[in-house]
Amino acid sequence: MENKHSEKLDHLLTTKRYDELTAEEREWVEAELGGEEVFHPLSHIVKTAAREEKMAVSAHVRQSLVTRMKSKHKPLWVRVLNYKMPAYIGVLLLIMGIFVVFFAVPERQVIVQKTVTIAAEPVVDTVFIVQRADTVFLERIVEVPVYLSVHQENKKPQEKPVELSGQSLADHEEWTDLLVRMD
Amino acid sequence: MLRLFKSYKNKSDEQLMVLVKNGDHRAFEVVYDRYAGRMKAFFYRMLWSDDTMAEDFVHDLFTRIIERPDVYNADRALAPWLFQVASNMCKNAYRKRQFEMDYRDQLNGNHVHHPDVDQKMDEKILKDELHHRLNDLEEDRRQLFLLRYQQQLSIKELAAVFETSEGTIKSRLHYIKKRLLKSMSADQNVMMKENGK
Repeated sequence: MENKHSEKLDHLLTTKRYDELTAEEREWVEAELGGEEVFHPLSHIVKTAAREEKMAVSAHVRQSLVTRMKSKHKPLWVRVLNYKMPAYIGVLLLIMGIFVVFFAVPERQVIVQKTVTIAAEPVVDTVFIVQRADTVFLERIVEVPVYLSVHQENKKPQEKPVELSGQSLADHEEWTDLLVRMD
Repeated sequence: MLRLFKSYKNKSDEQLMVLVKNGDHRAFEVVYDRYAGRMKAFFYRMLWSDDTMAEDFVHDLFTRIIERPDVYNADRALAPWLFQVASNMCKNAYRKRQFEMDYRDQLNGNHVHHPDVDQKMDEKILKDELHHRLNDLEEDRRQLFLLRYQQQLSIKELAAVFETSEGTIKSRLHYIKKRLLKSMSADQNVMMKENGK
């Protein structure tokens, strides 16, 4: 029985009866162990052990352990709430708490809204507005030379301006039209 | 809620132990349900087939997990670690029992009568063939036999439990089988002689 075949032999011992072994396995077992008279009792012991892999445990063992586990790992708030202390210590803590709230804690700051008038100097600035011209006035000065033929007798030049006497306003307008057309 | 429990059951032992370390009692319950029965069967066979003692030891073992979960290293597989702790607990029980037996022997030597509870228990146990065979083995070998054939631990896991090489484990298993065969053949010879008479 060589220990290098230990696992193979264990497998046969735990899973098969001697008569279930193949011819090859039977030959191998006979060489390793020595035959049915050895295989059978050894297999019986091994199988008996394997059948006992588990045993029922009482429910109270489980309950006790789970309770222990829960009590060991309680959340912080549960532990605080369940914390046991004498009544007088509780009352003292309460009084201290009230004292701290009323005297030690500074007053709360209240936000007050106020309107403040500030004398600010007005700012004067110059604004240039550029606007394009929309109306164009054109003015034309027309100079028309007027040649007048005047018969001058050997008279001294008159100092008086020439008077176009006898010309009516209608004549004057005809003149003007004529002159403009000529232009 | 159902989905929550299902997800716990799908987790590996090592993942559950990380949760146990963080105080998750549901994870602890799943670990307990997986291993309590196996641990009891192991303790039962190791501790003189005493059912009450086996349950007490299961309780103690899981109490250790609750109180000191940090002792477990999450890099290791859980099953070999649990059986290693269980083996150490059995060793302590053997030492204690040996001390008590020595003390009783001393008292008996002084002619003080005490009801021999252990003897009664042994008589009951002798009727059990498996226990009879295991009685032929030393404590360490009995542990190895039970872990291998009762708890179906692999050679690798056994090597982790006993902190030795796989070759040594195979060699010890080989020796155990040899011892059992020897004991059985001796019994057969006795029976044949008795039948011959």
